[in-house]
Amino acid sequence: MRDVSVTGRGITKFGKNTESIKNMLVEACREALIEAGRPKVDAVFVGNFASGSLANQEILGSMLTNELGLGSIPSMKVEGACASGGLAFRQAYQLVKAGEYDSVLVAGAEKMTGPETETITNAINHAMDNDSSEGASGLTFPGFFGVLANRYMYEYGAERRHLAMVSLKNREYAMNNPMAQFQKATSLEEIMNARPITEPLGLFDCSPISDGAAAVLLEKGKDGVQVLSSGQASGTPLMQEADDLLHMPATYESGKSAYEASGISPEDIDVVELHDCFSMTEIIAIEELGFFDKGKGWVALENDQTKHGGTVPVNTSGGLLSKGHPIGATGIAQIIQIVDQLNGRAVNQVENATHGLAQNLGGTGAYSTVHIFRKKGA
Amino acid sequence: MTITAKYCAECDRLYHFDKYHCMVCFSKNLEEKELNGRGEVYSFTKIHAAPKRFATLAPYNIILVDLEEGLRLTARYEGDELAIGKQVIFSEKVDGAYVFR
Repeated sequence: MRDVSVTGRGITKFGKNTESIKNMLVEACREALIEAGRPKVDAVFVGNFASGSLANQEILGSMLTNELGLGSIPSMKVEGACASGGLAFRQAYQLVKAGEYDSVLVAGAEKMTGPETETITNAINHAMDNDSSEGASGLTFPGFFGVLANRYMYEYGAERRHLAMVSLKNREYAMNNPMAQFQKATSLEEIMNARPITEPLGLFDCSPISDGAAAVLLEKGKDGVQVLSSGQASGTPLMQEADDLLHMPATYESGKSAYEASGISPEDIDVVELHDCFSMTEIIAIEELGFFDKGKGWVALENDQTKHGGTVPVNTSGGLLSKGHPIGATGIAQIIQIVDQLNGRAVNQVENATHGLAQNLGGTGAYSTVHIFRKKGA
Repeated sequence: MTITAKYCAECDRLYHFDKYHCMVCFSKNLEEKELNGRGEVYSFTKIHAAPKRFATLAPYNIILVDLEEGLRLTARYEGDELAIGKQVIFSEKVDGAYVFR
């Protein structure tokens, strides 16, 4: 098996963008390819969730190979709800590692603004198993995390303010990130008093509707931030079938695979980007990925352990909550923040970071990918 | 009111009504089994931001209820203040959704 590194990266600003999904993708890919010195590209993979229903556009892979002048190389779109980007990256990594390709361009994008909010809500609900009485009940995608949050607080003694602390931390990080959707200062009070979405979650506990694209180039060798390992797992898409609602097996298992394959343990990780689609999801993820004990994630928030100077800084980009969440782009954008951290040029730079981890979740725990990275030459 | 569930006699496993086969032995010969419709709230949420189909109901309560026979079910709830551990009872099925009181 061969070494694989990220040799280029590109990203658009997240938020409301009047450009088309094609234009955003081309912009992110151009930047990544120019940074990598425009090497020969062997394949293109695009992570995207709902370009058909939200942007009236499919065949994103072929559009990119054409617009980038890459000739007749293979290309495709990969869908896994919010984990689409992470899944696309994993496929590329495995094929370069195995020797099938020497370089793969991995992009991710979503164009979400434009349609009516109801159309967007319906599209997001496609990330649940709707052929069930659960779908008929009126449970929404955020609703799942509301149910989870109420049980988590009941079981472990966490309070509403601990959820708000996640949103506040990520907003404070986003304030330094020019690519972020939300850079305005906020407060615990404003977060806790915001309009309810699905109790106990309010507006600031939920990631926004965003447009954006991100891209990385993966090449064989060690001339860049090295990808040490990749983990992927699935979980039930139905809330009523979860063995333990407070345990997210896809997140846990994908982390376990990635740790085992790299020989790296949670204590070795200097910086993390993980899937904070909702404030509650971040607390579950820091537990499932082994940074804190089960049921103690909220204590880590209380004690500032997920900020600079704590056990491990989490979501230094601002996370999905404040950087924004253009669904298909998210998994790649998380990886870009880790790559920037390990190249020593990130917003909210973590001093002397040598190892980073990126976790991307799809659906209500339906898919998860974890990738572990090492600084060039470290 | 009772809730109709599905049951695999071969594996002694209870399933939600919308299952197509037994997830263990793959048998499609699932029996129908009547559950008494009583259960305890495992957790809940009140949904304010609803998709179009449910917009007229909003805000509405979603519960995850542990039925006495052992099945866990996602349902809607109509009634007083909700709390984890509250005893609830099935009242009707509306457009495929289980509604408890």
